Amino acid sequence: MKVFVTGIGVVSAIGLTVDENYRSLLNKKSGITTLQLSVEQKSIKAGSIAKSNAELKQMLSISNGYFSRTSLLGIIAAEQAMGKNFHDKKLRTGFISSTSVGGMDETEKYYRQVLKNLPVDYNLTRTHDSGNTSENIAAYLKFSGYINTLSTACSSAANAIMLAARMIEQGKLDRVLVGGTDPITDFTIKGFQSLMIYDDEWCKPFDHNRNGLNLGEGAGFLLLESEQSINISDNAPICILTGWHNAADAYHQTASSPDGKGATIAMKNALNKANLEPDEISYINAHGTGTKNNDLSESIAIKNVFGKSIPPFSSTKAFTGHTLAAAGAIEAVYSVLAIKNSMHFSGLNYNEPLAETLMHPVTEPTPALTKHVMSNSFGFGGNNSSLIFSGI
Amino acid sequence: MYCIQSAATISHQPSFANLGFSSRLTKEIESLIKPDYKEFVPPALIRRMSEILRMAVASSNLALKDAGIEQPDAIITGTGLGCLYDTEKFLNNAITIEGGLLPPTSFIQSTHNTIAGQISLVLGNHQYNMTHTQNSLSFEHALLDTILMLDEKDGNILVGSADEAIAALQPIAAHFKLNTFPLTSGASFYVISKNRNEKTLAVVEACHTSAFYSSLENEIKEFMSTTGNKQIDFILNDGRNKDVMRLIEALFPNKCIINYSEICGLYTTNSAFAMHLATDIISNKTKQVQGKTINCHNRALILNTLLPERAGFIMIKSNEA
Repeated sequence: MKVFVTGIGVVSAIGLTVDENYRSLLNKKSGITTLQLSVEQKSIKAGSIAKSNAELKQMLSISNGYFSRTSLLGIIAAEQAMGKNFHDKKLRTGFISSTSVGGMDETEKYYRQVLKNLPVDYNLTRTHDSGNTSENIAAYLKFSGYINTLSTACSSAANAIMLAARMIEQGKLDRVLVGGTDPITDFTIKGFQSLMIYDDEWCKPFDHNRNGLNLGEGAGFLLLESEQSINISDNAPICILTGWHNAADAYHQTASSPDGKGATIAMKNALNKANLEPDEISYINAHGTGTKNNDLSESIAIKNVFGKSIPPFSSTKAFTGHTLAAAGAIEAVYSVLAIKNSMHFSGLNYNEPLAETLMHPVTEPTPALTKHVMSNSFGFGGNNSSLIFSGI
Repeated sequence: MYCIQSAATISHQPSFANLGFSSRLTKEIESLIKPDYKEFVPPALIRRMSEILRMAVASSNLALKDAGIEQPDAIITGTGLGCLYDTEKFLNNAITIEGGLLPPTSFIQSTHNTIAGQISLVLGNHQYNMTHTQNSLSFEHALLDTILMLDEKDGNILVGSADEAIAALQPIAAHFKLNTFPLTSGASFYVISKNRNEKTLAVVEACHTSAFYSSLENEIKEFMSTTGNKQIDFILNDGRNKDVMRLIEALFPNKCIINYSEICGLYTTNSAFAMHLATDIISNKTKQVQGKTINCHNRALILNTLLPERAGFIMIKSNEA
């Protein structure tokens, strides 16, 4: 059974719509800026979205209720992907989202009140759990029935897309609105700083002198449908999700293995699932966070899978920042755009290749026939996922 | 046919390495049982692990041992609130310590997939590794993923869930009046496969979740009808809502209804405890639970309505049925 992509939505530091994101990618316009979170803290480089929660609520005509920024960003992308589709009793429609921190942005506010012995607003904690993040998005779009959330750190949304595809393939659901969302929080910024992999300067994915990642925020959503579903919805398919695989690296709690074992398994099995040979991949949207460890491990894994004929590849994280759980969905949308527009997107801030692998990422947006795109997402705890999107 | 080959639960009941525990439940909710973790978790790791990780790694280890499986073909977990102890610890540090570097361990161990990730690390397992976090339905979603996977290919799936109570939850629970039962911790892990054999404790017949429905009664009726209107011998419900209990009594007259939160306390994945309890009642043919009599041990329904407008259904039957 084929799994069609019929709708896409994205909000990130490089745009509030799919078109804005696409134009920024073509114009090599990064959304990463210098950000001062509070007066006490030193400034950082991050891909933030220049809209306050109040402004986001206004955009969505939400007047009351407690919403984490996670949900608000998710709603914007999910609504775009849902487009003009409406709920139809004939179609079993599921909703799967993903997030790494859930409503941590609101929990931080609550916890500050607690620590300062201020009167506390308990309602802030209602949005803490990841499930609530998704339920708020689902409720806004009037979903009911199967509503689920995955959380596997930075591979979350790729896994959500994979689960949605499996549900459709097995005939458990006819269509799924699926994606991921994460905001910038103190928690995650300080977390990656504590790991000493937060670059104070602009991140440089796949560059020899890379020095860590910049965080970003955003959300991406896709509408996936079965053939039977598009016969009823009459949606025009944009492309097909043909391959997917998730594998554990089982090497270290945070670091990727030096031989890229989990990533290699994920990519190879995604190719098998799609019934493709490695040389049929037109472009890889790599995980490419810009950390010393990820980019080396991923490069080695790509070599393991593709040998000497490595397809054009790049990481778009120097545009958006690393949007954690949302990354897999945002980059899935970019992969769909690569196919739709026959375009290989570039990275940014690249000067020289890794001495160990001598692999050159795409440095200029390049028009080229793009039939099959691989999108990689690797998370903490060695959670490695690869997706493959294919033209119709 | 989804066969429960083993079950291991660390809870506030004597549920760990104790077949037939359903006949030996304590009347009051006692403290969390603490097995000799050195037997189940690599000693070098224990020190750094929070309670939730110890519980999960130990119960997954026992579940694999009891099923006679060295490497599962997938590790699928559910957690409602995740690794709260480490999350709070890092949150506290992030807010209170200005400047300078924070110790990273609690950040590393704060992510929801630390649980499944740790299990894969301990086993050196490279298979599918997933974490579902849908609040009160997290375990049901993990179980649904397990069923999906077994429908795709045969294998031995390690599926389970874990949640932990921390002190910071108390005032929040009190404010929202969620403390009708004590807030507790628990981890349950199962090996589920398609091979029915002498090890099979019980069989999962169906699992279903539903959110934002308009009528629970209709949801229950629809679940029963899509699963073939089978005869249910006893029902386990979270017991938080008296109206729901009355509805169950009306829909399943004269059936034993067990209130499982009264037995294991309240945590977002306590339906995973309920599935172990039901499995044990069925395989042990336990006649008395909570002072109620169970005469027939063929089929049980676990109906999880811990949160309003969200329902989880798990139907299990005896290996002989």
